Amino acid sequence: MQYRTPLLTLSLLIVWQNPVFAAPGNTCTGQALSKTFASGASWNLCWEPRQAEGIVLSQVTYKAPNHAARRVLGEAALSQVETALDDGSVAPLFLTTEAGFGGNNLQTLNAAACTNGTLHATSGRNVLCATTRAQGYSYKYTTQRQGQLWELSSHSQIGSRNYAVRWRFYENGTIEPSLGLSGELPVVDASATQYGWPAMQSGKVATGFTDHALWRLDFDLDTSHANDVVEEIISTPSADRLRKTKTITRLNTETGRNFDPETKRFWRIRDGILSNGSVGQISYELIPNRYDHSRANSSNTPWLANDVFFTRYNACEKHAANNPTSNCTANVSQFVNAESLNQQDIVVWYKQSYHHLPRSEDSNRIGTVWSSFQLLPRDWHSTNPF
Amino acid sequence: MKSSVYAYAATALLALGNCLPNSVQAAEFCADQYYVEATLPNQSRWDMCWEHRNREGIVLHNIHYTPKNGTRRMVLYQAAVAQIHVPYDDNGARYHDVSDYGLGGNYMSALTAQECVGGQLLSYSGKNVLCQQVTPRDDAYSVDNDRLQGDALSLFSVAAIGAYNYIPQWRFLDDGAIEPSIGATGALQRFGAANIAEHGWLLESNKVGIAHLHNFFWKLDFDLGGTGNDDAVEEINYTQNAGKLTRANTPFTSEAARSVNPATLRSWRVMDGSLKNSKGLALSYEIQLPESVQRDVGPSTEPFTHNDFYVTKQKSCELFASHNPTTNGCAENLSAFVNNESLGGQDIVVWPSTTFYHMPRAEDAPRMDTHWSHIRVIPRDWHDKNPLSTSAETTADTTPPPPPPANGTVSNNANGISVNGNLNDWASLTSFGRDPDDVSGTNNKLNWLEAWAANDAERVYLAYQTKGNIDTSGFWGYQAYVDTDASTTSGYRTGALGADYLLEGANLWRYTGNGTSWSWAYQGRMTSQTSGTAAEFSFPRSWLGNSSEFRLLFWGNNAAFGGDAKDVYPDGAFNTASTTRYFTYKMYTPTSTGTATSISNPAANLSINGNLSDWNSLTSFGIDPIDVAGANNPLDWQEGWLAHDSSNVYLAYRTFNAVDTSKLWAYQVYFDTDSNSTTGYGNGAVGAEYMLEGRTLWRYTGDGDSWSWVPQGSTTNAFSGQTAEFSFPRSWLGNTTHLRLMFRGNNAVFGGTTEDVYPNASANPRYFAYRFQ
Repeated sequence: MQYRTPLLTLSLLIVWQNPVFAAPGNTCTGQALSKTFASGASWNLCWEPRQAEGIVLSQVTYKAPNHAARRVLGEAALSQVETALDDGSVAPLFLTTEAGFGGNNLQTLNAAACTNGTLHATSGRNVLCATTRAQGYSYKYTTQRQGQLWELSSHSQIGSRNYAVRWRFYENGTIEPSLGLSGELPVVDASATQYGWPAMQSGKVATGFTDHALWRLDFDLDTSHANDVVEEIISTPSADRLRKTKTITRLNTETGRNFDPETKRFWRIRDGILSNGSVGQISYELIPNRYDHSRANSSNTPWLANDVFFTRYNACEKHAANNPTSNCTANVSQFVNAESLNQQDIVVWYKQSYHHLPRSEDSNRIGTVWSSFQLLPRDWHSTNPF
Repeated sequence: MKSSVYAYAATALLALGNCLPNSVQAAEFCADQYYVEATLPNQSRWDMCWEHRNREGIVLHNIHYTPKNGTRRMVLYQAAVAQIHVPYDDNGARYHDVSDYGLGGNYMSALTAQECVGGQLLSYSGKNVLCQQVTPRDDAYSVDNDRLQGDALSLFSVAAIGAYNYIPQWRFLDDGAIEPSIGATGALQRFGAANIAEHGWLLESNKVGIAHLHNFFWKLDFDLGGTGNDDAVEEINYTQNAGKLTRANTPFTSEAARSVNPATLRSWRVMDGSLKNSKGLALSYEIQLPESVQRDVGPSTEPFTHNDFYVTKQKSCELFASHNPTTNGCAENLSAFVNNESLGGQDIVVWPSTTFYHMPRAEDAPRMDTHWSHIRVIPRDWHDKNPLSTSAETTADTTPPPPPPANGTVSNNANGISVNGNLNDWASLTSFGRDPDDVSGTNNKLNWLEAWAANDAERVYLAYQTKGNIDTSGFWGYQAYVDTDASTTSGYRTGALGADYLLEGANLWRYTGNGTSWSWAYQGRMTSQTSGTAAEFSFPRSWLGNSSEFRLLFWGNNAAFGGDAKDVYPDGAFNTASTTRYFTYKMYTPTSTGTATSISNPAANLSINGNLSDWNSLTSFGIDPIDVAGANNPLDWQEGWLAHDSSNVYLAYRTFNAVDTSKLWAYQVYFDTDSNSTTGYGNGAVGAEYMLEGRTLWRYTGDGDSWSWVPQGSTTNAFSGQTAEFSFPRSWLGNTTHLRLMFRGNNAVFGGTTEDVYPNASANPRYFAYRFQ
């Protein structure tokens, strides 16, 4: 068989080549914003509104007191919100790409909507509210310290629903993105009680729905965006379940992964080179939330089949689902196509699903429900900078 | 809308100071000094008593909630932290911090004004142990320009146990929700030397911070409406199927131990047996455990960790989830409290738990920042409407959610369509619906009546009918805008579309502008034929980027004939309130999931010329999706066929990119002629006796594993662009009457790393079946 040898040789010897992707820039897009806390900790970033995603943040840099500033994220946005009705009466909608968090849906905010904060405008409209808030104890031991956080929030009215997108930047380097669901119930006439809740005075059934928030987090740790690695950390229980043994595995190719309580699985994005000056290498880890709804995927779509996807940066991979396909594949499950993640520009796609079962309390106004998660520095510093 | 949040805390404190002595409830359940009452800025009110216990620390009881202008009702008779269980990964310690140490007594910290910002310190035995604050909680709700800031009453204490400082906190929100949480700060309790790094994380000075769990348990004794023995508890689960989420509520009749289930989106609720809201729904509180991703099933000696949510009958000696005092015949731990006692007519207690898995990080030394764990307790039908809004109910005729969906996705098999100006061959297909006769005037001859689309594996077909004869002298006026990525952010923005393509007369254009500029690149001239009022077109699917679905609207511009009328179809294309603003066409796709049911294509006169039009009437194995990407991975199967006559086998395939005849060995088709995966070359999908690789058919001679093949012969073949056709004698496959086959493309030869198999590796079965008959 004359072709077998070349095949073997090729597959063993192929030197991986750089496809020609548009290189991600180091420049901010939009307007610069920064916050320096009294402690000397500071955050620097840029923000711009886009038609689909609404507010997109770029070049997010954190500086701890008496430490150098380092970039954390090259770009970060809520890349897609897919909403599915319990009764399946309408095909799932992609609110980000089919309606948009930006454009006219991005609400103009007035001073009352930004109490104690500062409004920021784009195209003459105030759309972003920046607020400094107390966070309570930063730590308490023999002494205690009260911490602060800096919050950027915007609101988008999409049909009957109103979404708040809120980014919290803590003094200690923690980033907490949140999606707040409010507004009015989208459909109050489900075909059967099992698809909702008879929350209406008329006895009509308000239809339940699931919002799948698909976040895109382009990590570019420190100066080089192209030398990051993904590590999966698990702690395997012994047979008698009295002990756990940690193992760290580098994820070398693009993949979709799931949380797993049994092994306490989590991931961190680590710079390929930089150490914290001590024994650790600088990284950020993902702390999820809404585990209790995390397997919601009634249409069994591949982009909702994993909690987290890790891909290599590709400029046209913008939306985790319903991505424009002119130059690119359509969703994050297809973005995963065996490209290397080793010393690359890593993009983390985190899916957070929240199912809303209406209640009488929602029949005129949905009380805001927040769904949040955290990005936590791990060994970013050799010790607690405070 | 709130004008100011700034003054809230002060107002609330004033209110508290003024009301406390006058409150008739003050003496109802406890001495005044243990009574907490707060009217929140939105006029919701919470009141309760607290007591100090050495173990549980601050225990709250007789917790009442009064909505604005509503009825004061008891929610919880008692609420307490029931255990903090802290096992370490090296099994060097397994602490039971509440029962064995305590959140109260000497462990409880004296708080200073600096750590109770804007709040009020409450004292026990001369020590300030509890901080009461009213804090803003961001949006209560937000819709259009109706937005309300919410607030919460917060109560916390601090207990120092070893190096840890725990912060048990209760937040009572102005919408009736309760948020129990526990913060943990201080310093890491246990370190090891670098040789136990496998049980923790290496920190500065080569110390290992040992990883550990905090299993937090609460005991919540709900007495909804003040009656202790008429509550019921049920579990809410969903089944997921075919795009539907179907709810089922299951009541507990006896004590139970349950766990979070993310596949059924499980939650629980406690319902009152008699009280109902104005809608006839039972007053209830729902409990969710959203932070249970690190829930831990511990060893058999710690069965209380095996579940997340327990329901028991209230017993005063059942205090702690573990290490419970066994005096008075009480069980030792939560799992044993559950002993099948009936819940009917009983005072019910629920024990939710959540877990924080702490893998230390460098930042945890020398001081550890606070990490928090929460559970969610929310009212369900406690109110008639949102208690913070007086607005009217959402009206029942609310249209489905945005954006307005196009009605009726159309998908048509183009088999049998010929582009000849005669629409008879479209009669059995589904059109986009009739457009009314809505244009008049002599110069306004373009008046849409109906349109269709269809496709086969290769081409898209389009037809329309207009009221008057189609006049190709103004053919440019006949336009259809096509949005292939369902996104208004790319393409020419018109109506609800971002049109990536434009069909204008017989020409097809691709959009190149910024969304508003009129910038189009010529894509090609469609095959077209007009006849009277009918027009028919066809063009390759690749002209639309091989998209699997597109949206379109028709736009008739009578300016082409000197007229002024514009006919849009659908009529609502430019009306934002319309429910149909475009049509959706989904490419017709024969099944491609692998077929156990076999296909047979008896055929005559197939010519091997690279043109697959003579395969149109035959059944393919279905479309394989675009599932590989990247410049070095060009081999992506699209569709394949097999056919036969009395003496020959015919095979054809199409790939998404041109077949590269210089690297044909990458294109492989495996044939399993005995339908036995354990004989022949085993590739995971089939056991192949034969293989077509490039132009050559090979017979397998190895042991199943080895790559051992002898040539059977070189096929008759032809290649043209994306297509390939082959024929060879049936005897080369041993004159088999049945076979299984699968396609395998190895992009390694192109420098890629992706293999495309067809059917996909996830298909079941992983082969297509074919029979010769």
